[in-house]
Amino acid sequence: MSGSSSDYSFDSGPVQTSCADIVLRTQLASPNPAVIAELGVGDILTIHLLSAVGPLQALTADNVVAGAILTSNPALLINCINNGSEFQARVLSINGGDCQISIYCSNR
Amino acid sequence: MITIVGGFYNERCLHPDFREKFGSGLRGCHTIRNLDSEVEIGFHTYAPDDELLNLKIAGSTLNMATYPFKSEQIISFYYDHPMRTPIITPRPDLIVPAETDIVFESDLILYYGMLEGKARVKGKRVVYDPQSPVKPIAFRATGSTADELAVVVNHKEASILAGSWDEATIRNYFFNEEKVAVLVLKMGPKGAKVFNQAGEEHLIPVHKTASVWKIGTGDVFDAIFSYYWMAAGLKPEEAAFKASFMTAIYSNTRNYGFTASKHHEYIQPLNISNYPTGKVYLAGPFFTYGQKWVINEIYRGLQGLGLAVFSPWHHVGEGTVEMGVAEKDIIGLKECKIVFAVVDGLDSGTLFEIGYAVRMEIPVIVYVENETPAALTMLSGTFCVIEKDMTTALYKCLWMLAEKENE
Repeated sequence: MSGSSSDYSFDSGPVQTSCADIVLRTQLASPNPAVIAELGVGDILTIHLLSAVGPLQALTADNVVAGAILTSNPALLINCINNGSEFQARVLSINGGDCQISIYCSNR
Repeated sequence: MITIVGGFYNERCLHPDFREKFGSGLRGCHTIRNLDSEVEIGFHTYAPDDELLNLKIAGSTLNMATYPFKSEQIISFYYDHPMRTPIITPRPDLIVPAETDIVFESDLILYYGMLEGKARVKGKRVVYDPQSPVKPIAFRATGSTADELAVVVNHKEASILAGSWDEATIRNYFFNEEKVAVLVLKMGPKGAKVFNQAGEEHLIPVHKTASVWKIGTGDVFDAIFSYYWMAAGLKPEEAAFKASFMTAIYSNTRNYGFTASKHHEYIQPLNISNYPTGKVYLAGPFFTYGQKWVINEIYRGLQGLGLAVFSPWHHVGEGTVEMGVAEKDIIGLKECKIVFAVVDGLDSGTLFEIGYAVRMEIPVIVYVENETPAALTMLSGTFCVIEKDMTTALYKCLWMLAEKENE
C-alpha cells in the first residue's frame, strides 16, 4: 500500500441509473425574494428549461420565476429534459434567502 | 464590465449537506451578478471538456460571457464540515497543470488564484486574492500587471509571501515589492485591516450573525470589495466595510440576496479590541468513536478560532472515579470562562457539568442536533444558548466570550 490518498472518493451523491431516478437536493440560485416570501415548505415548483444551454428555472404554479437551478451538474438535468423528461421541485426549507429544494422527475 | 478569473470547482460538504459547483471564480460571478443585474460580466476559467456544458449553463443562468480554457480534470473540494480544511481531489500535487496560462486584458479584473494553472492579466484596476494558504503566488510573479492593484489576502498567505508574520514587514513587502495601491489583510474572526499608500490603516470589524455558513465567505468578500472599489468607486475602506457586512448576510443565509433588510437586525458589528484569552470548557461524551471524533473536531475548531480550551478528554483522559477524574474535571471547569457542551445523547456527565456551570454563572453554549425541546427544558430555561449547527455554535462561543471579556 502506498499510503496515497489520491484516490479519495468524492461522493457526488447517490448513483443515478436513469433520468427517472434523479433526485437532487440543491439551493434555489438567485431566488426572487417576493416569490420566496409567498412559498411554503412542501410547495411544488416546475423546472423549466429556457434554451438548450439554460438557464434552468423553477416556476411557481402561476408560472412566475422563483429562482434558477444550478446544482453540481445541471447538464445532467438538461440532457434529460431534452430527451423528454419533466422535473419538479419540492420546497424543503426556507430560511431567509436560503430556499432548499429537492428536484425529482415528474414521470417517476 | 467586470472580468473575473478563478476556479470552477465541485464543492461538497458532508454535514450540513451541500453539493454544488462553485469554486471561487463562479462564486464571485454569482456575487457580483446579485449586486448588479445590469453590469457586464466575463468569466475566464479552466474547465475539462466534460464540464463545458455546465459552464455554459452557468453563463446563461448568470447572464455572463464565459471563456473556458482547457484543463485535464475537474477539481473537487470535500469538507466534512465547514470548519474543516477541505480535502482536495485530485490531491494538489497530482493535479495535471494546464498547458496554457489564461491571458487577457480588461479594465476591471477580479483575479482568484487557481490550482491547475495561472492567469496573466493586464488591467487598470485589479483585485487579486492568491487563494492558497500553502503555496500562494505573488501577483507580479504571475506575469500580470495592473495600473492600480488591490491585494486581498489572509494573514497566513501574506506571511508566506512576505517571509514574516510581522505586520510591518508584510506591509513593507506589499507596498514596496508588489507595488499595491491597497492591501486588505484578512484576520479571520478578528476582522480585517485596510492599508493604503498614504500609510493609513482602517480596521474592518467582523459581523455577528444568527447563523454561520463559512464555505465561500472569503470569495464573497473579495467579490463585494471588488465591485464597490473597482466599479462603484468607493474608498477601499468603505468597500471593505460593505464587504464585511454583506458577507455576513451571505454567511447568515447561504445565499446571495444581499439587499433583504429583514436580515439586518441579526447582523451586528463586533469590535474585538482585545481578543479573548479566557478558557473554554469542552463538555461532551467521549465513549464511542463517533463521540470522540465530534469532540476532537470541536476541540480543533475552538483552537482554530484562537481560543484556549480545556477538554476533559484531551487534558485529563479516560480515567475512573478512583483516579480522580471527576475532581480534575471540576477544577478545570472552575478555571474556564465559558462552556461549550455537546448534548446529543443527553450524557449525564455533560448535563452535570452544564448544571455546575449555570450555578457558577458561567455561560453555556449547547450544541445539540437531535433532542426534543422537552429534553432541553432546563437548559433553555436557564439561558443556555442552544444551537443546532456546529459552526454557528463555535462562532457564538467566540463572540460571547469576546463580548464578556470586553464589557
